[in-house]
Amino acid sequence: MGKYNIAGIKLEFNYCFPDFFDERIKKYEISDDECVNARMNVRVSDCLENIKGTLKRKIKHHEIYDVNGKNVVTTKNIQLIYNDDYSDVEIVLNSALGERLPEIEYIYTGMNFCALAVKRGIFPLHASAIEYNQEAILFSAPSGTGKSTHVNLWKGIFPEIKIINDDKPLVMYENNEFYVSGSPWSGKSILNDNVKVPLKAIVFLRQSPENYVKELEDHEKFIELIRNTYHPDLEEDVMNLLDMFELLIKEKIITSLYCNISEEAVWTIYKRIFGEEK
Amino acid sequence: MKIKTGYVLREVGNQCVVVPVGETAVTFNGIITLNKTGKYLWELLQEDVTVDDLVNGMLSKYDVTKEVATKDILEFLEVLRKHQILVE
Repeated sequence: MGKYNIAGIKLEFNYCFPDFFDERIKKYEISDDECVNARMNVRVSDCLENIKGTLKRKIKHHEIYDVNGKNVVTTKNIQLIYNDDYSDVEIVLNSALGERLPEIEYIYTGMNFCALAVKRGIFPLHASAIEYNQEAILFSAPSGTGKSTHVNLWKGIFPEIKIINDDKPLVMYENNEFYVSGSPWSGKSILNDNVKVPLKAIVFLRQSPENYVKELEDHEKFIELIRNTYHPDLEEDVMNLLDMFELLIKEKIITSLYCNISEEAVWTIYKRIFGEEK
Repeated sequence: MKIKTGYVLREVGNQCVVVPVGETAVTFNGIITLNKTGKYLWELLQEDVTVDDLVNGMLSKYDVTKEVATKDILEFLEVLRKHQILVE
């Protein structure tokens, strides 16, 4: 059992398998004396308990039951028990998952952390995020487009950049500014950093033989943001998220880069963001 | 016919974006962009209406012929059916 501060959320987190976490989560450790404001506990069981309760809601194929004020969702191999604001989550994994247990633990703890983050006004964006000159640039695209490849090109030109998170950086709005934080849920890559820096720009990447910036209409920015974030279950949470996106569109650089794998790709977007070539 | 519940319409820039919320979708698949006319039809479809109601609504608001309005409305309804967001 450990305590961690991830994007300002102080979490008591008990995971079962070190495979995905040991290297990724150390940077977020806080002292045992610190008070936490969220808990997530994972355990493995040979048999998932058949918990009886009142049917609360149905979401697609899942039924959510109310059991003594907690939400319970049970599938064949996974049971989630959580309160409404996700500040107290228990994940029970069926031991029958065998070799997949570490990966399933990583995925489900990540999803539940995203749900908790959204409740606290923080949204994850499917992106590779870098810190350059104490500001964050997020490169977002569907898996396989080349986010990490593009970030490696930046690393080649600017060795001083840090990778904040290579899969799902966290974006938040505080004191009239958007910030980006790392988290230990960084996808396949172990690259993440426990930093919080102001957001400079979000760039949606597209593969292309030529390098060029294509500016997006406001509604296109809105749709790209929606498509690349976590979808909360409840309407009120979705509405809060959409409010945040509308503000983000007004305040920050959001654009798209059609690019190939070359240094020219970096300079093309660099000029758009910073207005000049270094 | 009418629009299913669980969708929210937001005006962003000069377009409207319809986003599934709540129990309609686990993911954000099925986002639709509407122009001003689409937005008007969407609003009419919040109540149970017929194609004739929609055509009459369009004719009262826009300078179009009945043929053009009917054709546009049928196309629009097809898009809504494709996304399974119409209750008939």
